[in-house]
Amino acid sequence: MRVIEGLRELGGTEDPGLLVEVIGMFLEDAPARLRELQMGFETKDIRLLERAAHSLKSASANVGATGLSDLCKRMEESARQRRSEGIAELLTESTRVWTEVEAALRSIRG
Amino acid sequence: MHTNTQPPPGERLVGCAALAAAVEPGQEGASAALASALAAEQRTSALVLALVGSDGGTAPAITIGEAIARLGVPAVRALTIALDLCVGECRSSVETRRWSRPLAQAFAARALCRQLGVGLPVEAFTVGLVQGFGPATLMRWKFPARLVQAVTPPGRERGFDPNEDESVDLARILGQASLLADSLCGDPSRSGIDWARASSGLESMREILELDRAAFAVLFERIGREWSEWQARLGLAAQPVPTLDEVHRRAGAIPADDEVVRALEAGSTATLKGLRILAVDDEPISLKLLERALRNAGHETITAVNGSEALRIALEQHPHAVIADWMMPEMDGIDLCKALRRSELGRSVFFLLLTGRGEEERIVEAFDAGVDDYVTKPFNPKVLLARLKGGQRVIELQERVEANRRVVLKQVAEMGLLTRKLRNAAHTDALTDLPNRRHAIGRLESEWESSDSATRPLSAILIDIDHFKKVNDTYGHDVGDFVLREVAVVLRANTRQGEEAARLGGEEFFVTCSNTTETQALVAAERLRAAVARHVINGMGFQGSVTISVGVAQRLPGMASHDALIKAADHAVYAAKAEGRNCVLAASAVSPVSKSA
Repeated sequence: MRVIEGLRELGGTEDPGLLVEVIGMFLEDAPARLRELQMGFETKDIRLLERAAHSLKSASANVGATGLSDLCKRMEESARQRRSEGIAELLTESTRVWTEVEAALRSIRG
Repeated sequence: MHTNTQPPPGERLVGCAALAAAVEPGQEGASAALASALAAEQRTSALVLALVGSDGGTAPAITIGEAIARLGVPAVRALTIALDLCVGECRSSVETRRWSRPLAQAFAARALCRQLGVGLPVEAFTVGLVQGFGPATLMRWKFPARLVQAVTPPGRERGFDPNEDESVDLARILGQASLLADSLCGDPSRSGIDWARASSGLESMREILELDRAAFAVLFERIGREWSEWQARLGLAAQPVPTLDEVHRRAGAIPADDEVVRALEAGSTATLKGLRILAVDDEPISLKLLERALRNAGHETITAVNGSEALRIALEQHPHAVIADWMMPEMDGIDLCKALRRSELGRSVFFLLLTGRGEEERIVEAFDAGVDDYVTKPFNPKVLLARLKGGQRVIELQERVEANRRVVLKQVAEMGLLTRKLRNAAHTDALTDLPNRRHAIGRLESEWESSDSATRPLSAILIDIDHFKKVNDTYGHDVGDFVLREVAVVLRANTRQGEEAARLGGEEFFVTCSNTTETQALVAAERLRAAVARHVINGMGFQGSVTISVGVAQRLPGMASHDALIKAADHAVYAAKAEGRNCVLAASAVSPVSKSA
């Protein structure tokens, strides 16, 4: 399963370092967002959950992790509509996908 | 309110300035007191004479006494205080730099005043020099009310001012003079000077003055030369004097938007190269990618991580475009857009919204908030830049509208001065610079409306120069004109509040005396007669004095209109001529027999 469905031409030929930089930022930032998702879910802080999902949605989309981005999008929508059903499953799935994404990105970054 | 225990500069006048300040303008012997105050300080009196002598008068003033007669006690008194203060502080060498710019402003104000033909150049010089002291200090020095008003910021409580037009003109002249002073004193190494503003300000000043570029450059150069000469005279450190071209050239290094405005004003279709763009996203990776994409495309990019920070930066730095994420904590993109659209500056900014997936269906809400366009995240840099290019057209259009709006605003502001200038010309006698017949009659008519023979008296003084025809026949019309101008100067210098001297034509002058009885007007008329008789006219081969015959009349219950008042004064003049000339007669004292004579 391809977790990284396509990295856009980040920086292009003029700025090859940008890709590495952005992946680095993502790898550093994403675990914190995932922790916020978890905490938001456990403490029923729906606002925190919504915000973390929104952030991770666009961050992961930026590095081409569209699967993870989709999961975040669904969590964000549920949170916005104040629906908690299904979030537990989405959260578990996200954590699983994240490990794959992380491995894939680390290999790309080299 | 001064919290400082040290008195502010100019709080205490010393020497010649203090002596001059003690002179009560209007009081008997004021001229002599002022002359002796000036005699106490050679340097100051020399400067006063240098200034008055080069003031474009009909003949250079030779003595302080003549300068006072020509310009009047209040004007010379104010000038003396200002100059003596300046001389004193420059000599003490503590405050030398402080006077450099005021001096430039003073010469600029004087030159503008002359060029516009509005007001008294020497007064413009005076207020230009001491404007920084503020209205309260000028009032304490008992400066003429119009000078105090001219330095009073608009909006501040301005008491009733009978000379409001004059002080408004003077305030405008000071504003323009300040711009000239900035341009002259501007230190190129200092970034504080906004050369672009100076340059475009000077250009619109040139238009107001109706001068071509060469003539304006000459004017600018002359002000610079006078300023430079006086700096040397006062022992101030010499500063390089820029030419007008240099000022305009310096304006070349200017912020992008001003360049655009100027290009558009010049009708150029040059496109905006790099835009100044504010990128806003709370998510760092998106922000980084956005910033990189914009920089790579040659745009100057500022970043903000939330809506409220973005709002602050936008209002401070006036970006051409804002690209903002929709969903952000605290203030989101929509709220940011709404807030910007409510502000004057944010109204014209191009606003591009970044929407996450799943937010497209709500895009109508975004457009309602004033968003210009949107791009979906994660964005493709090429698409984003293409959208921005579309926005660029809008931005240029906005800039053009904005530039036009500024031009219109500028024109509206300047129209006032221009209108006044034209109106002034239509109401001024070209030979003597006094108000002309049209103005005098208009003034009398309006005074007639507001006067009342019972409660608010109105009087008129009619003046005819004795044997003027002989002057013309003996010396020629040039000398005749010279004599008329000299008499006009004396009349102007000796009229007081509520009295307005005008030239009706030929050798006939007229003074409207509002809220004045015939008895009071007789005193004024005698003052004028004596002043003219005393004044020695010396120039153009003419030496000696002339006399005037003066008729005075008051509005009486039986008079149908202001014409009747003029007619009554006219009869009195005839009677005065019959009495042997060089005298004053009241209409009430003229018998019906001599009336018909």
